[in-house]
Amino acid sequence: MSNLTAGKLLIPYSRLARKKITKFTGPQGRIDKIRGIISDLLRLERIEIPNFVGYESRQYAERLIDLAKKYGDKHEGMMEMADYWIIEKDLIPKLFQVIVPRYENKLGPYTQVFKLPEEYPGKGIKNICMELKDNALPPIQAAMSNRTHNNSLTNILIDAYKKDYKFRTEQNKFN
Amino acid sequence: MLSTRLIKAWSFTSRLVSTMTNTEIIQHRARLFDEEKSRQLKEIERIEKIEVIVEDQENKQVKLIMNKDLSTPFNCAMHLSEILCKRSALALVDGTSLWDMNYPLKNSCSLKFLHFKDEDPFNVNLAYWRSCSFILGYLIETAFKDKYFVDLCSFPPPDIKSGSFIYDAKLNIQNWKPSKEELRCLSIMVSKLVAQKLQFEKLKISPEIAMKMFKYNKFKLEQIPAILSIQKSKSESDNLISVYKLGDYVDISKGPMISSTEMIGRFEVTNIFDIETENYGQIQRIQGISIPAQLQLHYWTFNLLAERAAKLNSALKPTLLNQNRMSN
Amino acid sequence: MFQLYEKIPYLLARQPNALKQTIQTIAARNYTNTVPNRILEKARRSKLGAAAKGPSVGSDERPKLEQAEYSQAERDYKYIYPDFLPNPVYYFRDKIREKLERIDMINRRKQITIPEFYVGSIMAVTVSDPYAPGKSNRFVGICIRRDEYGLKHSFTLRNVIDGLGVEIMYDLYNPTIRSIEVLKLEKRLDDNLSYLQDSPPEYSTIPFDFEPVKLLPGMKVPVNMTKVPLKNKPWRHAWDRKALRGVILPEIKRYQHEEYMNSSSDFKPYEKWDLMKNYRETIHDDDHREIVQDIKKFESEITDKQEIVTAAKKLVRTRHIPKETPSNEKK
Repeated sequence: MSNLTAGKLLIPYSRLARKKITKFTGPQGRIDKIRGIISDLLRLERIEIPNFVGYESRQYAERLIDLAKKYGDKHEGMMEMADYWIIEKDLIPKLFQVIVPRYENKLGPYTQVFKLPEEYPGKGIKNICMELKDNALPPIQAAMSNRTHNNSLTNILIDAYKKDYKFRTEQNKFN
Repeated sequence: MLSTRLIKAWSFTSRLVSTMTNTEIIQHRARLFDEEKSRQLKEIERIEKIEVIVEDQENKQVKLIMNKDLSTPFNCAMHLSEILCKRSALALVDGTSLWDMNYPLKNSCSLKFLHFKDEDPFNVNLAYWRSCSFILGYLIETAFKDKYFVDLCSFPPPDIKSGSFIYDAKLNIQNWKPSKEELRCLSIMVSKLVAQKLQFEKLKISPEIAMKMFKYNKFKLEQIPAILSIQKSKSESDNLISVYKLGDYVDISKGPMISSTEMIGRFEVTNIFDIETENYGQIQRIQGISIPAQLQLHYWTFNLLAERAAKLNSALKPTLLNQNRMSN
Repeated sequence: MFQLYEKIPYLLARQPNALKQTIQTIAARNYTNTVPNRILEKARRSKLGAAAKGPSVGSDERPKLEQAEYSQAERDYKYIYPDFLPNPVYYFRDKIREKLERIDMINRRKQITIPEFYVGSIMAVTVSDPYAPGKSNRFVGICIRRDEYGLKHSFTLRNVIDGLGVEIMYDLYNPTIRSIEVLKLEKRLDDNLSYLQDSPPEYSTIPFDFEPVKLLPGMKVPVNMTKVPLKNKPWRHAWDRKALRGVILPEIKRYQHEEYMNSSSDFKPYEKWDLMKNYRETIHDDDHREIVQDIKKFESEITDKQEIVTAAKKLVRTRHIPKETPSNEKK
């Protein structure tokens, strides 16, 4: 196993790895699939995939960028690692020369995820949209609706409760 | 639990002069309601067709040809999709007037279905709160044994920000303060109603039949002329009273109400208070809180809201002169 | 081994053939128990002996001498003090307990000097023992493995005494330990040398009068590249299924070997690259920084103390000098 270490991961991840991503190819196939997704993500910077694969490969992408930031492109072990995880070799310079400088001053997660609606009628597959942050593509937030849920019945009840609570606490202060 | 507690309290109660029990009164009202409904159906001699333009689930306009005075907005939804049938609580006719889901359409019009997750669900929320008060009346009248007589009074117009819905009634049981278990028994009865998927039926009846229908309830009898006078003052042309039926239970209400009990999620009867009024003497105020099944809430938050709903609601007390209260 | 040669004439009478064979095999391998210092020195200077700079994948195989500036290399506390690392599985962790344990460990380290050692280095441990003559017991052997985290950290020494393999497990912070000496500081190719149990006894026999070998200051720890042949089956564990580097396996029938490779749960080449598996099983930098701060503080205290002690010794020496001079004058 490699001895490369980096800082804390700033995205949610489970205690155990999700082992079954592919149907027949086993653990080697799992790694291969994640490799493909990582090189897709580095090339396109925004992809749509089923959520169970997406959340798993997101951890690997974050960690690869973390290590690339720490060790740079002159470290032997790091280069071997990048060579293994990136299948299309023209993306290796992109990782070190474009993506690492982009996140130089950034601590936190380098990717972000949006849940996509389920297709109806369909097979009930939950998809997500995953992207590298600060990319040149038009932002996703513009396409999302700005509707608020303040008028729903539960929110009205909760707001009224808050007001009541504030009123009571202020009264107690004076007393 | 409930019955044993009530038997002890019964020795102090005073019974009314009439010998009718609550179940007999309920059956009497339901029988009159059914007769009136069948009579109104018989008046329709010839089936006429109307054009209804319905807004779809995906905001597309669909033209349907329906029967006049027979087909309801719910029937229109049945033509489109299952989701619309399940979730839509009210219908908006011609973009202005609210319409019950189970009340037949009169003219050709355009329809839009409303539900709890709309952009502005103001009217749906009020309808939900109102129908929850209506169900409280159902609970009070059916929960007790036959030897205890309950007089229903009325319920105020819905106010969601107050945190609870109300029904005012005279329970005729002296010195009774309900325990938590007894209140819980009442709330469990609602889950049975939800499982039955009962529909709210609306009917407009003439004041004479209404007087006949509510002749065993002294409070309601006094209210009917007051309601009529209010309708006149608001210059409404028809001189009719709208009545709702849920299962066997019938009550006066202006409406609109939600389509069925399937939409009710959590329901809790939180407390019962004694209040003093001018016209009716000492009566009881029953309070509750509920949330539609379409909306989810964490149980911790719901318990907070229920705590607040257990305090005395300061809504208007029932009086004959109060015009606002009569127009619920 | 010395004891074995003494017994040879007596044993030859009983089992001549078996002993002859073993002696021949030993002679053929040109085996010596103690490596002379000049040969060791040669090994240290060679390319293979010097460890690569910085932890990285496969760095042991292809070391780069140009990068390795030994004197300036920062100390890698992760490998020097593995006992300070907490358990990487986070539901076993408790930050307050770790902090308290670290304080206890440092206090113990102020009492006795616990040197830097690795799996594969030759050590001597003396323990106070009420039943032993002189009330102390000294044992010499190879460090086979290091287990557990924090205060519970332990290491195991192995030696063959009178043809019998002996393994003793010591708790590192056991208060009955009087001293821990490292006779020869070196690493092996694997992190766990338990396979020495199933190898010929020559590879784990160490004489009790082993002379300590010194390393030059500022030098990296040398890696011993010896590969150990294993005996035939039966074994204690399925060594062929584990990805071991310092082992010469006996010939296994081909079909058996392929079966192992297909069915084996331990033979996983892809695990080397699994970033998240590595992350879950090791400790990350942000946590490690805290521990290193504690260790550095401790080390600086220790050096201060040593300087004071050495200064005091010098003072004592100077006091002795004027006493001698008057005696000369008298003569």
